[in-house]
Order: sequence, then C-alpha cells, then structure tokens
Amino acid sequence: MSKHTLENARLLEMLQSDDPSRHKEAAEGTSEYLHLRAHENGIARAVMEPETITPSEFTQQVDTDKPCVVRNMEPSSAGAVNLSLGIGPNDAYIGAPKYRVMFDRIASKRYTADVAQLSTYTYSLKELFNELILKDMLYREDVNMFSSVESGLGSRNATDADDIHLKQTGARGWITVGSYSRQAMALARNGIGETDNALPVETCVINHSFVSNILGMDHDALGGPGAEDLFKNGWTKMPLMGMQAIVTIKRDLVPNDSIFMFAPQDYIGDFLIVTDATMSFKKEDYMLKFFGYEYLGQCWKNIAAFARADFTGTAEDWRPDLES
Amino acid sequence: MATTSASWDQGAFDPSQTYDNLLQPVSGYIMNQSLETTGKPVAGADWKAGSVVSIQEITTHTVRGRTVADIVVKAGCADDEMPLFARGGAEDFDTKADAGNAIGRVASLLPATGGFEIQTTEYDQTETYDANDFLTASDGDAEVKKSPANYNDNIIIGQVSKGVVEGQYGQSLLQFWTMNIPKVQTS
Repeated sequence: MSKHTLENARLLEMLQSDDPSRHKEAAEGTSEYLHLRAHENGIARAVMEPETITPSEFTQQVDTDKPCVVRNMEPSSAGAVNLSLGIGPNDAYIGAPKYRVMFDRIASKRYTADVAQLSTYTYSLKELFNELILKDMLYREDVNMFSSVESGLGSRNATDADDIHLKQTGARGWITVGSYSRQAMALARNGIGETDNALPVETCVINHSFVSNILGMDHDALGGPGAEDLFKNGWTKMPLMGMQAIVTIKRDLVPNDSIFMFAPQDYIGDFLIVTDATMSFKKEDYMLKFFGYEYLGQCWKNIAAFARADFTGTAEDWRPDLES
Repeated sequence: MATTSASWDQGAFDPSQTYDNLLQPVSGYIMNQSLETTGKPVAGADWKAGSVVSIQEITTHTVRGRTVADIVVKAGCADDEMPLFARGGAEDFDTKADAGNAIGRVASLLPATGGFEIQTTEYDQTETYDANDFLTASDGDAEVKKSPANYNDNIIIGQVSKGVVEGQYGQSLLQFWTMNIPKVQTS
C-alpha cells in the first residue's frame, strides 16, 4: 500500500461527498499545503516576502474598478547649505512621491478528472495538485516579475542618455562583466551600489549552470577555502559575495551566465497578497473539476533596486561616464 | 465612440468612467463555458473596451520548458480574419498598469463565432441601424460598422438584433448577434 493511499482516500472521500462543506474542507486542506510549497518554490516570493492584506486596504479609484493600494515612497530632501550670519535659508515645500500597487488574479488551467480514475493514483494527490497547478501559478508570478524587472533594466551596456535606467539612476541597469573571475564577480556585485541611490545589495538570482561555472573557479579565484567547500559539497546555501543566492532551474527566466541582483525588499516595492494560492473543487456527478487561483499585486517600483550582469563579452562600467 | 461623461464645467477635469466604453454580453455568455480567449494589444494600441480586434501575430514563450502561444491583437479585422470583441481596452488597467506593476497585461476577448448577443459602445454612430442589418469591420479600425448592401463584398461580423439602445448611464449601445462570414472571394 502506498504511503499516500490513506491521505488520498481521505481527500477523495471529502471530494466525493454530496455535502458542500466537505468540498470546502478538502479545498482548505489542499490550499494550506500549497501555501507552504509556494514559499519554497517562487523566485518572486524569495526576493520579496509577500505581505497579506485585506480588501479593506484597497483605495477606490474614479477611472477604474481595479483594486489598488497607494503606498508612499521615501521623500527626497532638498539638501543643506552654508549660511552667512544674519540670513535665513530658502524655502523648500515638502512633497513625497506615492505610487499605486495594482492587483491581478493568476489562475491555473481548469483540470477535469473522473473521481474513479483519481482513486487509482498511488502518487500523492496533494503533490499532483502542486505539480499541475501551484508550479504553473508560481511560474506565472515569476514571469510577471522578470517582465517588470527587465523593462526597468534598460539596454545592456547602454550608452543612450535616454536609457530608462541610466536616466533615472545615473547608472546602467545591465552590463557585461567578462568571463567568470573574482574581478568579474566583484564588478557585477557593485551594480546596485553604483546608482545615484547607492542602495545595498542583498539577494541575487542565478541558475544551476551559473553555479557550475563557480564550481569551476579555483582556490585563488574564489579567494579562500570556499573553493574546497564547493568542490566537496556542490552548491551550499552560503552567501555569494555577501548576497543571499537564490538558485533556480528556470533558465528561460534567468539565462545561463546571468546574475540578477536585488536590494533589500524595503527598497524594491511591494508583494501584496489578498488571496494566496487557493484550490477550487467542483464535483458534478462523478466528474471532478479543479483549478487553482490567487489574487495578488507585485510592484517592482524602484528600478535602482535591481541590476543584471552577464558573464560574457568585455567588462563594462556601471556608470558610462566613468569609462576612459 | 460614445462618451457620456462629457464635461459640463469648461476647463475642469472630468475623468472617464468605467462604463464610457464597454462591451456587454447580454446573452449567450456563460463564464467558464463560453468560447473566449485573451490577447495582448500590439505596442501603441489605443482601442477601447467594446472594440472589434483580430490576431496580428502569435508569439511564444516557454513555461517550464514547454512552448506556450500568446495572441497579439490589433485594431479591426481584415476580410478573412476572425473578429474578436474586446471586453477590456488596450489602455485599461488589465492591459496596462502603472510602472513597476507586474500584472498579466492581456485583454479578455470574445470570438465572433461564440454565439453571443452583445452591446457595444464602439460602433459607427453616423449610421442608422435596423434589425437584421449586417455589420462589418475593416483592418486597423476598431469600430463596428454597417455593412454595405452586398454582404459578400466584405466580412460580416454580426447582425443587428435590437439596434441602438440606451445603457443605464445614457450610453448609446449597438446590440447585435455576433457571427463570422468572411468575404466571399470572387476571383
């Protein structure tokens, strides 16, 4: 008997019941399981810890029924001056920028199955829902995340003064740093700090291929006994040049030889969840229909809070005005 | 295009309302059962909710290693293209968002063959419409238009049911059944 048989039988018994409260019980139990898995697998959720909010926090808008939350950005100060004796400073009126976080629903496909066939599964049904539904929803979250982040990075090795990242932050958002070396790693790491905002860097996202390339670096290149640890143990959860490394297999989002770096969450924006990953089950006679959905807002507002470096080409400067 | 929130106070701000431009299926639409799809507007598109649009191209992206197709839509439809009726506009907050917001950016679309009776604000208001009039569209123009008498000279995207009706906020709405009869090629 499979170790999952009892759990599956209990879940199917609830789903086959004609009592709608039992379907709700099954949905809640499964959703709780998916919430736990979501925090393990989503890149966006690893970079920005989701904050749960309630609809009472929405701000009504005139021109849209779309729910929004208005958040404040840190105000810029007008600076201090040296004064001669006997005079006062000029006036500066206070104005603080604000921005809207907008909400969207993400849903899986709606799956259908005959309950009789589901009852033959020896594989965990909860794990099946995780594979079929949650992973796709998290992937969609990450696709949305990288779509926003990449649109804020501007062009690679940008030289156009109108480049979005150069114009707003004084530095490029995306450069090449040359092939893998200690110097290239240090150059990459410096991207966020090189903007006019000079933010700290906290997290980086790389793929497994990137890790293999680090494994190929020798003791001198890595600069210490870390090389031996990597050789013996493969990738460990140790920080990468002071950044918390998130290693992903989502190569279509994080290409080979690329590293995405992020400032601490408070500087980036917001990840707000109204309804976390939730399962919907509907039974019609013996046919079961189910899908997952969630309702959230991700706002990658501060483009000075993220940067990308590619370990290829020639090493470029983050600030083109520093080029000789 | 109908706009009911016209300014009465010269020089004042008068934000548009969500019902100024709309597509309303009055019958034939059952959520989770009806024919429907979603599409991303082409860059620079500005068509409103209620417009007729069509597929410009199919793009692809990968999800967990699998190739997934995405529909990209343009305003209007040519004589041999499937008419799609947009439930959201190209610049509404489902398809656009404030900078930094990571949302889906797609509009909900009803294919003309879906068997719907719909009301739309996006029609040629210079024409008069009688029951059973055929409706058409042209490439690049998001308005529903009255078809010339020789219906097989152009695509037919609908047939008038109740004609022009007044919405609950005073909007002019054209009510018709959707269909798709591509232009008959005579050559």
